[in-house]
Order: sequence, then C-alpha cells, then structure tokens
Amino acid sequence: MSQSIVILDEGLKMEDLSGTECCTGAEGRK
Amino acid sequence: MPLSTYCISYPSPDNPDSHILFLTKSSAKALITSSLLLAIDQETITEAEKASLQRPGFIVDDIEQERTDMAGFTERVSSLSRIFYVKLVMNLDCNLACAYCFEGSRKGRLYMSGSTADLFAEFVKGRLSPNKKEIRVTFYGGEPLLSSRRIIYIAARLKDLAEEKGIDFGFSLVTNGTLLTREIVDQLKPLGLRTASVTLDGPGDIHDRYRPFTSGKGSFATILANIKAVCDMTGIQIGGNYTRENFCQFPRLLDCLMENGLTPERISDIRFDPVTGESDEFVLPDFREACLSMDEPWLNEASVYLREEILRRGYRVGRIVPVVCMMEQQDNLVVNYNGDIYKCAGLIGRKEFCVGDLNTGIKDFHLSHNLDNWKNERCLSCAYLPLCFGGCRYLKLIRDGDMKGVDCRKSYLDAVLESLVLQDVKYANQILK
Repeated sequence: MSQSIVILDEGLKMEDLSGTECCTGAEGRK
Repeated sequence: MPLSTYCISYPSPDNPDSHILFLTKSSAKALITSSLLLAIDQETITEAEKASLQRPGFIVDDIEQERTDMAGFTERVSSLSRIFYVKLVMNLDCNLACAYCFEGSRKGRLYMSGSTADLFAEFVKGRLSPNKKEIRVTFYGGEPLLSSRRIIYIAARLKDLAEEKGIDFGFSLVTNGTLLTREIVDQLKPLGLRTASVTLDGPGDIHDRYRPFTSGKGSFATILANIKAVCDMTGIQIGGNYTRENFCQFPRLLDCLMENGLTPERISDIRFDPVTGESDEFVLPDFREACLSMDEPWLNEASVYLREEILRRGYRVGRIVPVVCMMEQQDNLVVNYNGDIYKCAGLIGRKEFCVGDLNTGIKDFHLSHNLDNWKNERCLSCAYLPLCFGGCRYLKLIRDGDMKGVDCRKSYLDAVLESLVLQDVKYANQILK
C-alpha cells in the first residue's frame, strides 16, 4: 500500500448488507 | 480511473493536507493525502496507488457501468442474503399509554391466536429456501411480552425447525421493558433470545411524561430496574424517541445510565430517533410534536449532537452503512397478529398495503410499494443513494398520502453525513460492524 493512502475501513461485502436496520428508525421504533 | 460516483471526500480534521474518503455503497473509509486526491482527478496516480484505491472500490473503471450496476444493488443484496427474517407482531395491546404511540388507534386487545402461531411456524417451514442459513425473528407488538407464553411456543418450534434444517435460529424483542424480568429472560435465553431493544425516552422526568403506564404512573424506574437485572443475561439495546422540544435533555439519560452502573460494556448499543408521525387514520389526536420528514433543520443538529453524546461516554452505536429497506428484501417480512403480511411495521393495519397472509402467501407488491422509485438518473448519480434508496416510503405515505416519487434525503445528508462519518472514524472501536 502506498504511504499516501491509509485504508481505515475495508467496508462491508454485499452479503453482509441484508439486515433489519431502517434509514429513519421508524422500523424499529417503539 | 475516476472516483466512484458513491465516494465522498471530507477534509480530515486531525491530519492537515489529508482527506477522508467515504464510500457510501460499502462504508469503506480511507485517509489519503490531499495531493493524491488531486492526482486522482488529474489521472496521475501511480499503479500502486491505483491498486490500493481500486480494491475497496474508491475508484472505478467505468462510471456508467457502476451506475448501471447500482440499479441492481438491492436485488443483489436480497438474493445474497442468508437470513430469513420476520418481524412478528404478537399483539396490539400494551400496558403503557405513550403520548405518541406509533400504533395509535390500531391498538386494542388483539392477540395472536394459537392457530395463527401454528400457521406461522408452518409458513416459515414452507418458505425457507435452501440457501438460508439463519431464521431470525423480532417479536414485536403492542408489547410482545404480554404474549410471553406464545413467544415461548413459537420460539421452541422455530428452534426445532432450525435444528432439523441444520441452520441457526435467534430472536430479539422490541419491548417497552416493563415486563423484562430475570424470570422471563431465563426462559427465553435457551430458546434463542439474543437481544432486547428497550425504549427510554430521555431521563426519568421526561420519559414518565411520554411513556406512563395505562394507570398514569411513570414507568422509568421499573424499566431501569429490569435493565439492570437482565443486562448481564442478554444483549440490551437502548432506543429512545425524541422530539424537537426534548432532545437536548437526552444526555441526562446517558448520565443516569452511568450512575446506575449501566456502563458501556453492559449495553449493546444506543440509538435515539425522532418521534415520527402518523396519518390521520391512526394518529393520537393530542400529540403534535411528531415529525413527518428527515428534512427538518432541527433534526440535523439533534442527530449529530445525540450520537456524539452517546459516543463520548463510551457507548456503542450503529455504523453508517448502506441501508436496504426491508421492502426491497424478499425474505424480510412483517407478520401481523392475525396472520396478515406487510413489508414495513409502519404499514400494519393499512389493508391496501397488506401483501398477503399466512394462508394464501405473498402477492406481487412491486408496484403498490413503488420499489423502483429511485431507479432514475437523478438518484443513480447521487453519491448518497446507497444510504437512502429513495428514502422512507412509510414517511412519504404519511406525509403526502402516497408512495409516489422519493423521500429525498439529500439535504439532510448534506448537513449531517460529514459529521457522522468523522464520528465513525474517531470512535472506530465503538462502532458496531
């Protein structure tokens, strides 16, 4: 890796993106 | 090679002459020198730099191809999912009388019957495709623990089913916490209980005003005692619903948790959200503090401020990640107490958005739920698309009366995303993966 770049977070794979979070929080609200 | 359409750069506050790259489609992050950022633009980067940036996807071969691929993103996430997920509404009854109750006038002494519970277990068995490696259920309500015996029955059946198939089973509770005792957790834990999401709407004085028992008595002390009693037995997520009038008081709740020994290592994570509204059909008539959009300026301040207050005390929060709404995921369902099936908890009771039932299965809802609303040039060329995918169709519905068009979150993300990403970098060890 070049010194001009530090990878802080490799990111998630697509297969790890399914889940139950909700962009507004409306889905998990109570 | 150009930067990805979905890559955003922000100046690094801690490293002069450096930028943070944030890739909205995977949540990848990198720290790069400002001169390298310029070199990417001028296409003068070295092969080594190219390789380092291309692997996580910060730079791409072909912008047009990337946008074409993005149009199929949610379908791919859905098809790759190994989880069969159901949010199961056990009842629409409650022992609290929250001022803003999200179920509103839908509430009543409405409980899942034994035959519906059996039908549900059979439905899961019949719908479980061979690629699924986990059955995951969230027991929901009303107050799900008013149906604890039924939860035990269903969890036991699904646990047996999962064992028979050689896959995992786990469940969570979205509960008000008043009935979350050691005794019930002792019974649920061996059946697969992983976490309980409990709501505390700020410090005791505020919480008790918004979330009293039906008798009028405050519920804060009971819930706090229960969390203290069970947090070493099961994961506890704390959620809270704030309003424009009270969000500034929520840090007092965090201090109260600390004072009561509910330190960060004993709590899974904390998330505060604004109280969202309801349509006239279901709204409680006396509550006027709810918001109908993420596009309200006070929310920008509130969301960043409260997340920072949580993090600086050492508690964990969810990471800023691509959000694929459950409406877009084939095996994510909401099943109501009577067996009706929906694609969002906010839609239960709205017959026009019922997508089927446990007897007859699921009908096509592509058009009724406007699933392709974001597949247009404007959205596909927006860096925020993976954090939004057209926004919240439920909020769009209650605000505008339909799901046509998008619930654009650009102005909200313009205002807050930089701060949220910098929080994820600064507090990396407290960000849930």
